[in-house]
Amino acid sequence: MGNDIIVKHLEEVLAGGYDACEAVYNDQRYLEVRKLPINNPPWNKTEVNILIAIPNTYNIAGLDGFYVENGLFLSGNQPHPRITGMHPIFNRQWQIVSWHYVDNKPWTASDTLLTHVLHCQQFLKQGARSN
Amino acid sequence: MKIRVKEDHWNIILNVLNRSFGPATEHNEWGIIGIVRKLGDEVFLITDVIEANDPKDVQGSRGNLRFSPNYIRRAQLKGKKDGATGLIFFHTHPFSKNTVSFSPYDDAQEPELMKNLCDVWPGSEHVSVVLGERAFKARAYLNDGEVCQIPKLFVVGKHLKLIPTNGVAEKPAKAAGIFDRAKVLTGNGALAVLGQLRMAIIGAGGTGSLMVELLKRAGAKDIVLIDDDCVDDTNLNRLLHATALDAKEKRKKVYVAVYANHLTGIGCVVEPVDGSIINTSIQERLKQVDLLIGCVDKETPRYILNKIAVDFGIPYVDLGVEIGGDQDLVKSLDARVTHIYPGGPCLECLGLINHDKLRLEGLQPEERKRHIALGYSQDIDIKQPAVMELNMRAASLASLLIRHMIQPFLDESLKTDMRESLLTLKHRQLAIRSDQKSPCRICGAMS
Repeated sequence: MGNDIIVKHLEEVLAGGYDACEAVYNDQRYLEVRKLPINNPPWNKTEVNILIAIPNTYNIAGLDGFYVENGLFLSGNQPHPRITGMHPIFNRQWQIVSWHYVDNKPWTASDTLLTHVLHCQQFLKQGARSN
Repeated sequence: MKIRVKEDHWNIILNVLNRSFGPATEHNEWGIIGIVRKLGDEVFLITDVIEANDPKDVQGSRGNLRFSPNYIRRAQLKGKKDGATGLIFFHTHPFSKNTVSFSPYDDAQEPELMKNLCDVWPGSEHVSVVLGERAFKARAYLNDGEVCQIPKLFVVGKHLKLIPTNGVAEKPAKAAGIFDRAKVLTGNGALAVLGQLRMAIIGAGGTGSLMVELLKRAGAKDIVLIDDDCVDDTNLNRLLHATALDAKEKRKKVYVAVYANHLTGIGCVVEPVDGSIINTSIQERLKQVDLLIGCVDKETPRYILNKIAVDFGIPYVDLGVEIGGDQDLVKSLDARVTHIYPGGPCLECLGLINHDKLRLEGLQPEERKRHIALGYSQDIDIKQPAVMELNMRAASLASLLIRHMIQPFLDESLKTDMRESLLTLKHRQLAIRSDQKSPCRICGAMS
Protein backbone atom coordinates (compact mmCIF):
# COMPACT_ATOMS: atom_id res chain seq x y z
CA MET A 1 0.00 0.00 0.00
CA GLY A 2 1.31 3.48 -0.77
CA ASN A 3 3.13 5.61 -3.27
CA ASP A 4 6.08 3.27 -3.91
CA ILE A 5 3.91 0.43 -5.14
CA ILE A 6 1.97 2.74 -7.45
CA VAL A 7 5.20 4.09 -8.95
CA LYS A 8 6.49 0.53 -9.43
CA HIS A 9 3.27 -0.64 -11.05
CA LEU A 10 3.11 2.44 -13.29
CA GLU A 11 6.55 1.50 -14.59
CA GLU A 12 5.17 -1.90 -15.52
CA VAL A 13 2.36 -0.26 -17.48
CA LEU A 14 4.88 1.90 -19.36
CA ALA A 15 7.10 -1.13 -19.98
CA GLY A 16 4.01 -2.84 -21.43
CA GLY A 17 4.08 -0.24 -24.22
CA TYR A 18 1.19 1.94 -23.03
CA ASP A 19 1.16 5.73 -23.16
CA ALA A 20 0.25 6.23 -19.52
CA CYS A 21 0.66 8.67 -16.65
CA GLU A 22 -0.50 9.07 -13.09
CA ALA A 23 -2.27 12.28 -12.06
CA VAL A 24 -4.24 13.68 -9.14
CA TYR A 25 -7.56 15.53 -9.38
CA ASN A 26 -9.37 16.75 -6.25
CA ASP A 27 -7.06 14.57 -4.12
CA GLN A 28 -8.05 11.47 -6.10
CA ARG A 29 -5.29 9.57 -7.90
CA TYR A 30 -5.91 8.33 -11.41
CA LEU A 31 -4.03 6.39 -14.04
CA GLU A 32 -4.66 7.76 -17.51
CA VAL A 33 -3.91 5.53 -20.48
CA ARG A 34 -3.96 7.47 -23.73
CA LYS A 35 -4.72 6.35 -27.27
CA LEU A 36 -5.65 2.83 -26.36
CA PRO A 37 -6.31 1.02 -29.69
CA ILE A 38 -9.87 -0.25 -30.14
CA ASN A 39 -11.75 -1.85 -32.99
CA ASN A 40 -13.77 0.27 -35.40
CA PRO A 41 -16.35 -1.23 -35.80
CA PRO A 42 -17.98 -1.94 -33.38
CA TRP A 43 -16.77 1.33 -31.85
CA ASN A 44 -17.00 4.67 -33.60
CA LYS A 45 -13.24 5.32 -33.01
CA THR A 46 -9.95 3.52 -33.45
CA GLU A 47 -8.48 4.66 -30.13
CA VAL A 48 -9.69 5.97 -26.79
CA ASN A 49 -8.33 7.55 -23.62
CA ILE A 50 -9.21 5.75 -20.40
CA LEU A 51 -8.97 6.75 -16.75
CA ILE A 52 -8.66 4.41 -13.76
CA ALA A 53 -9.33 5.59 -10.19
CA ILE A 54 -6.63 4.37 -7.78
CA PRO A 55 -7.72 4.12 -4.14
CA ASN A 56 -5.13 5.16 -1.57
CA THR A 57 -5.54 1.65 -0.16
CA TYR A 58 -4.13 0.20 -3.42
CA ASN A 59 -2.80 -2.52 -3.85
CA ILE A 60 -4.31 -4.22 -0.86
CA ALA A 61 -7.60 -2.95 -2.13
CA GLY A 62 -8.04 -3.68 -5.81
CA LEU A 63 -9.24 -1.59 -8.72
CA ASP A 64 -12.68 -1.69 -10.28
CA GLY A 65 -14.27 -0.14 -13.36
CA PHE A 66 -12.81 2.70 -15.42
CA TYR A 67 -13.73 5.82 -17.38
CA VAL A 68 -13.62 6.48 -21.11
CA GLU A 69 -13.27 9.97 -22.49
CA ASN A 70 -16.55 11.34 -23.75
CA GLY A 71 -17.48 10.53 -27.31
CA LEU A 72 -17.17 6.75 -27.42
CA PHE A 73 -20.20 5.13 -29.03
CA LEU A 74 -21.02 1.94 -30.76
CA SER A 75 -21.31 2.19 -34.54
CA GLY A 76 -24.35 4.22 -35.52
CA ASN A 77 -23.73 6.50 -32.52
CA GLN A 78 -25.54 4.11 -30.17
CA PRO A 79 -24.50 4.51 -26.51
CA HIS A 80 -23.18 1.37 -24.81
CA PRO A 81 -25.48 0.38 -21.91
CA ARG A 82 -22.53 -0.01 -19.54
CA ILE A 83 -21.11 3.45 -20.29
CA THR A 84 -23.01 6.11 -18.36
CA GLY A 85 -22.84 9.53 -16.72
CA MET A 86 -20.72 12.53 -17.57
CA HIS A 87 -18.03 13.57 -15.12
CA PRO A 88 -15.62 16.48 -15.41
CA ILE A 89 -12.14 15.31 -14.42
CA PHE A 90 -9.00 17.26 -15.43
CA ASN A 91 -11.33 19.71 -17.25
CA ARG A 92 -12.37 17.00 -19.65
CA GLN A 93 -15.58 14.97 -19.76
CA TRP A 94 -15.49 11.29 -18.86
CA GLN A 95 -18.05 8.51 -18.75
CA ILE A 96 -17.86 5.71 -16.22
CA VAL A 97 -17.80 2.11 -17.43
CA SER A 98 -19.52 -0.44 -15.22
CA TRP A 99 -17.00 -3.23 -15.76
CA HIS A 100 -16.29 -5.40 -12.74
CA TYR A 101 -14.40 -8.42 -11.56
CA VAL A 102 -16.67 -11.40 -11.13
CA ASP A 103 -16.86 -13.89 -8.28
CA ASN A 104 -15.10 -16.66 -10.18
CA LYS A 105 -12.36 -14.29 -11.34
CA PRO A 106 -11.87 -11.75 -8.57
CA TRP A 107 -9.11 -9.20 -8.08
CA THR A 108 -6.20 -11.12 -6.57
CA ALA A 109 -2.97 -10.28 -4.77
CA SER A 110 -1.02 -10.69 -8.02
CA ASP A 111 -3.11 -8.13 -9.94
CA THR A 112 -1.62 -4.74 -10.74
CA LEU A 113 -2.33 -1.55 -12.69
CA LEU A 114 -1.14 -3.38 -15.80
CA THR A 115 -3.46 -6.37 -15.36
CA HIS A 116 -6.32 -3.94 -14.74
CA VAL A 117 -5.55 -2.10 -18.00
CA LEU A 118 -5.71 -5.49 -19.74
CA HIS A 119 -9.00 -6.17 -17.94
CA CYS A 120 -10.38 -2.86 -19.24
CA GLN A 121 -9.17 -3.66 -22.74
CA GLN A 122 -11.14 -6.89 -22.55
CA PHE A 123 -14.33 -4.83 -22.32
CA LEU A 124 -13.29 -2.62 -25.20
CA LYS A 125 -12.46 -5.66 -27.31
CA GLN A 126 -15.80 -7.25 -26.52
CA GLY A 127 -17.47 -4.14 -27.86
CA ALA A 128 -21.22 -4.49 -27.93
CA ARG A 129 -21.35 -7.61 -25.80
CA SER A 130 -22.19 -7.01 -22.17
CA ASN A 131 -20.51 -8.71 -19.20
CA MET B 1 13.70 -1.34 26.52
CA LYS B 2 12.40 -4.88 26.01
CA ILE B 3 12.72 -8.04 23.96
CA ARG B 4 9.74 -9.53 22.12
CA VAL B 5 9.79 -13.13 20.93
CA LYS B 6 7.16 -15.30 19.28
CA GLU B 7 6.29 -18.43 21.22
CA ASP B 8 7.55 -20.87 18.56
CA HIS B 9 10.95 -19.16 18.51
CA TRP B 10 11.04 -19.14 22.31
CA ASN B 11 10.33 -22.87 22.44
CA ILE B 12 13.28 -23.55 20.13
CA ILE B 13 15.52 -21.40 22.34
CA LEU B 14 14.38 -23.08 25.56
CA ASN B 15 14.70 -26.58 24.07
CA VAL B 16 18.40 -25.90 23.60
CA LEU B 17 19.10 -23.95 26.77
CA ASN B 18 17.16 -26.20 29.17
CA ARG B 19 19.78 -28.90 28.58
CA SER B 20 21.80 -27.00 31.14
CA PHE B 21 19.14 -27.39 33.82
CA GLY B 22 17.70 -30.84 33.35
CA PRO B 23 18.49 -33.91 35.45
CA ALA B 24 21.45 -34.67 33.16
CA THR B 25 24.69 -35.28 34.96
CA GLU B 26 26.66 -32.80 32.85
CA HIS B 27 25.73 -29.24 33.66
CA ASN B 28 27.45 -27.65 30.70
CA GLU B 29 26.73 -24.20 29.42
CA TRP B 30 24.62 -24.03 26.27
CA GLY B 31 24.00 -21.26 23.81
CA ILE B 32 22.00 -20.33 20.75
CA ILE B 33 21.94 -17.32 18.41
CA GLY B 34 18.92 -15.44 17.12
CA ILE B 35 18.35 -12.50 14.82
CA VAL B 36 16.82 -9.26 16.08
CA ARG B 37 15.15 -6.28 14.52
CA LYS B 38 14.90 -3.10 16.55
CA LEU B 39 11.54 -1.35 16.53
CA GLY B 40 11.89 2.29 17.48
CA ASP B 41 14.05 2.85 20.55
CA GLU B 42 12.21 0.36 22.71
CA VAL B 43 11.87 -3.13 21.31
CA PHE B 44 14.19 -5.84 20.06
CA LEU B 45 12.01 -8.29 18.13
CA ILE B 46 13.51 -11.76 17.61
CA THR B 47 12.76 -12.46 13.95
CA ASP B 48 14.54 -15.77 13.59
CA VAL B 49 16.50 -18.37 15.52
CA ILE B 50 19.57 -19.96 13.97
CA GLU B 51 20.16 -23.39 15.40
CA ALA B 52 23.65 -24.81 15.68
CA ASN B 53 24.18 -27.55 13.12
CA ASP B 54 27.62 -28.73 14.19
CA PRO B 55 28.79 -29.77 17.68
CA LYS B 56 31.64 -27.29 17.28
CA ASP B 57 29.19 -24.40 16.81
CA VAL B 58 28.65 -24.07 20.57
CA GLN B 59 31.32 -25.33 22.89
CA GLY B 60 30.79 -24.92 26.59
CA SER B 61 32.47 -25.98 29.75
CA ARG B 62 32.07 -24.49 33.19
CA GLY B 63 32.30 -20.73 32.99
CA ASN B 64 33.46 -20.66 29.41
CA LEU B 65 31.14 -20.78 26.40
CA ARG B 66 32.27 -20.20 22.85
CA PHE B 67 30.23 -19.70 19.69
CA SER B 68 32.23 -20.79 16.64
CA PRO B 69 33.11 -18.12 14.04
CA ASN B 70 31.25 -20.20 11.43
CA TYR B 71 28.06 -20.20 13.48
CA ILE B 72 28.24 -16.45 14.13
CA ARG B 73 28.97 -15.80 10.46
CA ARG B 74 26.01 -17.92 9.37
CA ALA B 75 23.70 -15.97 11.69
CA GLN B 76 25.20 -12.64 10.65
CA LEU B 77 24.76 -13.35 6.92
CA LYS B 78 21.14 -14.37 7.48
CA GLY B 79 20.55 -11.26 9.59
CA LYS B 80 22.03 -8.95 6.97
CA LYS B 81 20.01 -10.65 4.24
CA ASP B 82 16.82 -10.18 6.26
CA GLY B 83 17.54 -6.51 6.87
CA ALA B 84 17.80 -7.15 10.61
CA THR B 85 19.40 -4.90 13.23
CA GLY B 86 21.72 -7.48 14.74
CA LEU B 87 22.07 -10.75 16.61
CA ILE B 88 20.94 -11.96 20.00
CA PHE B 89 23.16 -14.38 21.89
CA PHE B 90 21.65 -16.64 24.56
CA HIS B 91 23.78 -18.64 26.94
CA THR B 92 23.30 -20.36 30.26
CA HIS B 93 24.92 -20.32 33.64
CA PRO B 94 23.94 -23.79 34.81
CA PHE B 95 24.63 -23.26 38.49
CA SER B 96 22.71 -20.01 38.81
CA LYS B 97 19.24 -20.54 40.20
CA ASN B 98 17.20 -17.60 41.53
CA THR B 99 19.66 -14.94 40.47
CA VAL B 100 21.94 -14.70 37.49
CA SER B 101 24.41 -12.16 36.19
CA PHE B 102 26.96 -11.80 33.42
CA SER B 103 30.25 -13.41 34.49
CA PRO B 104 33.65 -11.68 34.39
CA TYR B 105 34.37 -13.90 31.38
CA ASP B 106 31.21 -12.56 29.65
CA ASP B 107 32.19 -9.00 30.55
CA ALA B 108 35.64 -9.53 29.08
CA GLN B 109 34.66 -11.40 25.90
CA GLU B 110 31.38 -9.85 24.80
CA PRO B 111 32.54 -6.29 24.04
CA GLU B 112 35.19 -7.64 21.70
CA LEU B 113 32.70 -9.95 19.96
CA MET B 114 30.25 -7.05 19.52
CA LYS B 115 32.98 -4.75 18.22
CA ASN B 116 34.03 -7.35 15.65
CA LEU B 117 30.42 -7.75 14.57
CA CYS B 118 29.99 -4.00 14.17
CA ASP B 119 33.18 -3.87 12.08
CA VAL B 120 31.74 -6.31 9.54
CA TRP B 121 28.15 -5.12 9.98
CA PRO B 122 28.29 -1.34 10.42
CA GLY B 123 25.44 0.19 12.41
CA SER B 124 24.34 -3.13 13.82
CA GLU B 125 23.12 -3.51 17.41
CA HIS B 126 23.24 -6.74 19.38
CA VAL B 127 21.77 -8.32 22.48
CA SER B 128 23.09 -10.80 25.00
CA VAL B 129 20.94 -12.83 27.37
CA VAL B 130 22.15 -15.09 30.15
CA LEU B 131 19.86 -17.67 31.70
CA GLY B 132 20.01 -19.20 35.13
CA GLU B 133 17.61 -21.93 36.16
CA ARG B 134 14.88 -19.47 37.19
CA ALA B 135 16.36 -16.06 36.39
CA PHE B 136 17.29 -14.17 33.22
CA LYS B 137 19.45 -11.14 32.53
CA ALA B 138 19.72 -9.20 29.27
CA ARG B 139 21.72 -6.30 27.90
CA ALA B 140 21.97 -4.52 24.54
CA TYR B 141 25.07 -3.25 22.75
CA LEU B 142 23.89 -0.16 20.93
CA ASN B 143 25.56 1.34 17.88
CA ASP B 144 26.58 4.48 19.80
CA GLY B 145 28.76 2.29 22.04
CA GLU B 146 26.35 2.34 24.98
CA VAL B 147 25.50 -0.88 26.82
CA CYS B 148 21.92 -0.92 28.12
CA GLN B 149 20.22 -3.28 30.53
CA ILE B 150 17.00 -4.77 29.16
CA PRO B 151 14.59 -5.45 32.02
CA LYS B 152 11.84 -7.47 30.33
CA LEU B 153 11.14 -10.03 27.67
CA PHE B 154 7.68 -10.79 26.29
CA VAL B 155 6.79 -14.19 24.84
CA VAL B 156 3.86 -13.83 22.47
CA GLY B 157 1.63 -16.72 21.47
CA LYS B 158 -1.89 -17.68 22.38
CA HIS B 159 -0.95 -16.35 25.79
CA LEU B 160 1.23 -13.42 26.70
CA LYS B 161 4.07 -14.09 29.09
CA LEU B 162 6.35 -11.53 30.69
CA ILE B 163 9.78 -12.71 31.79
CA PRO B 164 11.79 -10.26 33.89
CA THR B 165 15.35 -10.06 32.55
CA ASN B 166 16.84 -8.14 35.47
CA GLY B 167 18.73 -11.13 36.83
CA VAL B 168 16.28 -11.99 39.60
CA ALA B 169 13.53 -14.61 39.70
CA GLU B 170 10.92 -12.09 40.64
CA LYS B 171 8.15 -12.71 43.13
CA PRO B 172 5.19 -10.50 42.25
CA ALA B 173 4.38 -7.72 44.64
CA LYS B 174 1.11 -7.93 46.53
CA ALA B 175 -1.67 -6.26 44.61
CA ALA B 176 -3.27 -3.06 45.83
CA GLY B 177 -6.48 -3.43 47.81
CA ILE B 178 -8.71 -2.20 44.98
CA PHE B 179 -7.99 -5.43 43.12
CA ASP B 180 -8.77 -7.78 46.04
CA ARG B 181 -12.06 -9.00 44.67
CA ALA B 182 -10.71 -9.58 41.13
CA LYS B 183 -7.78 -11.78 42.09
CA VAL B 184 -9.62 -14.98 41.25
CA LEU B 185 -9.47 -13.86 37.61
CA THR B 186 -6.20 -11.94 37.70
CA GLY B 187 -3.90 -12.90 40.54
CA ASN B 188 -0.89 -11.01 41.85
CA GLY B 189 1.49 -12.25 39.15
CA ALA B 190 -0.89 -11.62 36.27
CA LEU B 191 -1.83 -8.24 37.71
CA ALA B 192 1.83 -7.28 37.77
CA VAL B 193 2.09 -8.29 34.09
CA LEU B 194 -1.02 -6.32 33.18
CA GLY B 195 0.45 -3.31 34.93
CA GLN B 196 3.65 -3.54 32.91
CA LEU B 197 2.04 -3.86 29.49
CA ARG B 198 1.93 -0.86 27.21
CA MET B 199 -1.40 -1.23 25.46
CA ALA B 200 -2.73 0.74 22.52
CA ILE B 201 -6.46 1.18 22.10
CA ILE B 202 -7.22 2.36 18.59
CA GLY B 203 -10.57 4.12 18.50
CA ALA B 204 -11.98 6.07 21.44
CA GLY B 205 -15.62 5.68 20.43
CA GLY B 206 -18.37 3.36 21.62
CA THR B 207 -16.20 0.28 22.25
CA GLY B 208 -12.86 2.06 22.76
CA SER B 209 -14.15 4.21 25.64
CA LEU B 210 -15.46 1.06 27.33
CA MET B 211 -12.15 -0.76 26.85
CA VAL B 212 -10.28 2.06 28.61
CA GLU B 213 -12.68 1.78 31.53
CA LEU B 214 -12.52 -2.01 31.79
CA LEU B 215 -8.77 -2.32 31.41
CA LYS B 216 -7.84 0.39 33.89
CA ARG B 217 -10.12 -1.29 36.45
CA ALA B 218 -8.53 -4.65 35.60
CA GLY B 219 -5.11 -3.29 36.55
CA ALA B 220 -3.71 -1.76 33.34
CA LYS B 221 -1.33 1.12 34.05
CA ASP B 222 -0.18 2.29 30.64
CA ILE B 223 -2.66 2.87 27.82
CA VAL B 224 -2.12 4.78 24.59
CA LEU B 225 -5.48 5.92 23.21
CA ILE B 226 -5.62 6.88 19.53
CA ASP B 227 -8.44 8.67 17.72
CA ASP B 228 -8.80 11.87 15.71
CA ASP B 229 -12.56 12.19 16.02
CA CYS B 230 -14.64 14.71 18.00
CA VAL B 231 -17.69 14.03 20.13
CA ASP B 232 -21.00 14.88 18.48
CA ASP B 233 -24.63 14.55 19.55
CA THR B 234 -25.10 11.23 17.80
CA ASN B 235 -22.34 9.67 19.95
CA LEU B 236 -24.05 10.41 23.24
CA ASN B 237 -26.16 7.22 23.20
CA ARG B 238 -23.02 5.13 23.64
CA LEU B 239 -19.84 7.09 24.29
CA LEU B 240 -18.86 6.52 27.92
CA HIS B 241 -18.28 9.73 29.94
CA ALA B 242 -19.17 12.00 27.00
CA THR B 243 -21.50 14.88 27.86
CA ALA B 244 -23.73 17.25 25.93
CA LEU B 245 -21.14 19.96 26.58
CA ASP B 246 -18.40 17.78 25.01
CA ALA B 247 -20.60 17.44 21.93
CA LYS B 248 -21.42 21.16 21.85
CA GLU B 249 -17.77 22.12 22.08
CA LYS B 250 -16.72 19.28 19.75
CA ARG B 251 -14.11 17.99 22.17
CA LYS B 252 -11.82 15.26 20.97
CA LYS B 253 -12.88 11.81 22.14
CA VAL B 254 -9.40 10.98 23.40
CA TYR B 255 -9.40 13.95 25.77
CA VAL B 256 -12.83 13.03 27.15
CA ALA B 257 -11.48 9.58 28.04
CA VAL B 258 -8.27 10.99 29.50
CA TYR B 259 -10.17 13.42 31.72
CA ALA B 260 -12.48 10.64 32.96
CA ASN B 261 -9.48 8.47 33.71
CA HIS B 262 -7.88 11.30 35.67
CA LEU B 263 -11.00 11.57 37.83
CA THR B 264 -10.95 7.82 38.52
CA GLY B 265 -7.56 8.19 40.18
CA ILE B 266 -6.47 4.56 40.31
CA GLY B 267 -3.02 5.00 38.86
CA CYS B 268 -3.56 4.23 35.21
CA VAL B 269 -1.92 6.58 32.72
CA VAL B 270 -3.88 7.13 29.51
CA GLU B 271 -1.84 8.91 26.87
CA PRO B 272 -4.04 10.65 24.30
CA VAL B 273 -2.96 10.57 20.66
CA ASP B 274 -5.11 12.88 18.57
CA GLY B 275 -4.40 11.33 15.19
CA SER B 276 -5.28 8.65 12.70
CA ILE B 277 -3.83 5.19 12.32
CA ILE B 278 -3.35 6.07 8.63
CA ASN B 279 -0.52 8.32 9.82
CA THR B 280 2.75 6.39 9.43
CA SER B 281 4.35 7.98 12.50
CA ILE B 282 1.49 6.57 14.60
CA GLN B 283 2.00 3.19 12.95
CA GLU B 284 5.69 3.36 13.93
CA ARG B 285 4.72 3.97 17.55
CA LEU B 286 2.33 1.03 17.52
CA LYS B 287 5.16 -1.38 16.66
CA GLN B 288 6.56 -0.74 20.13
CA VAL B 289 3.45 -1.51 22.20
CA ASP B 290 2.79 -4.90 23.81
CA LEU B 291 -0.88 -5.28 22.97
CA LEU B 292 -3.07 -3.79 20.24
CA ILE B 293 -6.79 -3.36 20.82
CA GLY B 294 -8.77 -2.40 17.74
CA CYS B 295 -12.04 -0.57 18.38
CA VAL B 296 -12.55 0.71 14.85
CA ASP B 297 -15.45 0.48 12.44
CA LYS B 298 -13.60 0.82 9.16
CA GLU B 299 -11.67 -1.67 7.07
CA THR B 300 -8.53 0.39 6.47
CA PRO B 301 -7.50 0.76 10.14
CA ARG B 302 -8.46 -2.86 10.76
CA TYR B 303 -6.26 -3.89 7.84
CA ILE B 304 -3.34 -1.78 9.09
CA LEU B 305 -3.62 -3.11 12.66
CA ASN B 306 -3.77 -6.70 11.43
CA LYS B 307 -0.65 -6.12 9.31
CA ILE B 308 1.30 -4.53 12.17
CA ALA B 309 0.29 -7.38 14.50
CA VAL B 310 1.39 -10.05 12.01
CA ASP B 311 4.61 -8.35 10.92
CA PHE B 312 5.82 -7.44 14.40
CA GLY B 313 4.50 -10.30 16.53
CA ILE B 314 2.13 -8.17 18.61
CA PRO B 315 -1.03 -9.70 20.06
CA TYR B 316 -4.07 -7.94 18.61
CA VAL B 317 -7.61 -8.02 19.95
CA ASP B 318 -10.12 -6.79 17.37
CA LEU B 319 -13.64 -5.81 18.43
CA GLY B 320 -16.63 -5.58 16.16
CA VAL B 321 -20.35 -5.08 16.62
CA GLU B 322 -23.09 -5.28 14.04
CA ILE B 323 -26.80 -4.64 13.96
CA GLY B 324 -28.30 -5.86 10.70
CA GLY B 325 -31.83 -5.22 9.43
CA ASP B 326 -34.12 -2.26 8.98
CA GLN B 327 -36.43 -0.20 11.18
CA ASP B 328 -39.06 -2.94 11.22
CA LEU B 329 -36.97 -6.05 11.71
CA VAL B 330 -33.66 -6.78 13.38
CA LYS B 331 -31.94 -9.57 11.48
CA SER B 332 -28.65 -9.80 13.31
CA LEU B 333 -27.24 -8.46 16.56
CA ASP B 334 -23.66 -9.60 16.90
CA ALA B 335 -20.75 -8.79 19.19
CA ARG B 336 -17.41 -10.13 17.98
CA VAL B 337 -13.95 -10.35 19.48
CA THR B 338 -11.07 -11.80 17.49
CA HIS B 339 -7.64 -12.54 18.88
CA ILE B 340 -4.73 -12.39 16.44
CA TYR B 341 -1.45 -13.85 17.65
CA PRO B 342 1.71 -15.33 16.09
CA GLY B 343 0.98 -18.81 14.80
CA GLY B 344 -2.78 -18.23 14.56
CA PRO B 345 -4.91 -17.08 11.62
CA CYS B 346 -5.04 -13.38 10.85
CA LEU B 347 -8.11 -11.26 10.05
CA GLU B 348 -7.54 -11.87 6.34
CA CYS B 349 -7.49 -15.67 6.85
CA LEU B 350 -10.72 -15.36 8.80
CA GLY B 351 -12.36 -13.37 6.01
CA LEU B 352 -12.78 -10.35 8.29
CA ILE B 353 -11.23 -7.86 5.87
CA ASN B 354 -13.81 -6.73 3.33
CA HIS B 355 -11.79 -5.76 0.27
CA ASP B 356 -14.63 -3.98 -1.46
CA LYS B 357 -15.03 -1.69 1.57
CA LEU B 358 -11.27 -1.28 1.72
CA ARG B 359 -11.29 -0.07 -1.90
CA LEU B 360 -14.20 2.32 -1.37
CA GLU B 361 -12.61 3.77 1.78
CA GLY B 362 -9.50 4.51 -0.30
CA LEU B 363 -11.42 6.59 -2.84
CA GLN B 364 -12.21 10.27 -2.42
CA PRO B 365 -15.90 11.01 -1.63
CA GLU B 366 -16.90 12.10 -5.16
CA GLU B 367 -15.24 9.11 -6.75
CA ARG B 368 -16.68 6.79 -4.11
CA LYS B 369 -20.23 8.04 -4.82
CA ARG B 370 -19.85 7.27 -8.51
CA HIS B 371 -18.65 3.73 -7.79
CA ILE B 372 -21.46 3.07 -5.32
CA ALA B 373 -23.99 4.44 -7.81
CA LEU B 374 -23.04 1.65 -10.21
CA GLY B 375 -24.84 -0.65 -7.79
CA TYR B 376 -22.15 -3.27 -7.25
CA SER B 377 -20.92 -2.07 -3.85
CA GLN B 378 -22.58 -1.48 -0.51
CA ASP B 379 -22.70 2.15 0.55
CA ILE B 380 -20.13 2.60 3.30
CA ASP B 381 -21.26 6.13 4.11
CA ILE B 382 -24.51 4.95 5.68
CA LYS B 383 -24.24 5.29 9.46
CA GLN B 384 -24.44 1.83 10.96
CA PRO B 385 -26.72 1.41 13.96
CA ALA B 386 -24.83 1.21 17.26
CA VAL B 387 -25.99 0.82 20.84
CA MET B 388 -24.17 0.67 24.14
CA GLU B 389 -25.60 -2.72 25.17
CA LEU B 390 -23.95 -4.43 22.21
CA ASN B 391 -20.70 -2.49 22.59
CA MET B 392 -20.59 -3.59 26.22
CA ARG B 393 -20.90 -7.26 25.26
CA ALA B 394 -17.95 -6.96 22.90
CA ALA B 395 -15.84 -4.91 25.32
CA SER B 396 -16.59 -7.28 28.19
CA LEU B 397 -15.59 -10.31 26.08
CA ALA B 398 -12.40 -8.55 24.97
CA SER B 399 -11.40 -7.58 28.49
CA LEU B 400 -11.98 -11.12 29.77
CA LEU B 401 -9.96 -12.46 26.84
CA ILE B 402 -7.05 -10.17 27.76
CA ARG B 403 -7.17 -11.31 31.39
CA HIS B 404 -7.22 -14.93 30.17
CA MET B 405 -4.25 -14.30 27.84
CA ILE B 406 -2.20 -13.40 30.90
CA GLN B 407 -3.66 -15.79 33.46
CA PRO B 408 -5.70 -18.61 31.87
CA PHE B 409 -9.00 -19.32 33.60
CA LEU B 410 -11.31 -20.53 30.83
CA ASP B 411 -12.24 -24.23 30.87
CA GLU B 412 -11.46 -24.53 27.19
CA SER B 413 -8.46 -23.19 25.35
CA LEU B 414 -8.72 -19.64 24.17
CA LYS B 415 -10.76 -19.18 21.00
CA THR B 416 -9.37 -17.13 18.15
CA ASP B 417 -12.73 -15.70 17.32
CA MET B 418 -15.69 -15.30 19.61
CA ARG B 419 -18.98 -14.14 18.17
CA GLU B 420 -22.06 -13.76 20.28
CA SER B 421 -25.48 -13.38 18.72
CA LEU B 422 -27.77 -11.41 20.96
CA LEU B 423 -30.73 -12.71 18.96
CA THR B 424 -30.07 -16.33 19.89
CA LEU B 425 -27.76 -15.78 22.89
CA LYS B 426 -25.42 -18.29 21.30
CA HIS B 427 -21.71 -18.13 20.68
CA ARG B 428 -20.11 -19.30 17.50
CA GLN B 429 -16.70 -19.15 15.88
CA LEU B 430 -15.61 -18.11 12.45
CA ALA B 431 -13.98 -20.78 10.34
CA ILE B 432 -10.77 -20.00 8.53
CA ARG B 433 -11.56 -19.19 4.91
CA SER B 434 -11.59 -22.32 2.82
CA ASP B 435 -11.33 -20.51 -0.52
CA GLN B 436 -7.66 -19.61 -0.04
CA LYS B 437 -5.71 -21.51 -2.64
CA SER B 438 -2.52 -19.55 -2.14
CA PRO B 439 -0.81 -18.43 1.06
CA CYS B 440 -2.50 -15.57 2.91
CA ARG B 441 -1.10 -12.33 1.51
CA ILE B 442 -0.70 -10.92 5.01
CA CYS B 443 0.42 -13.73 7.32
CA GLY B 444 1.54 -16.27 4.72
CA ALA B 445 -0.52 -19.11 6.24
CA MET B 446 -2.25 -21.66 4.05
CA SER B 447 -5.85 -22.38 4.90
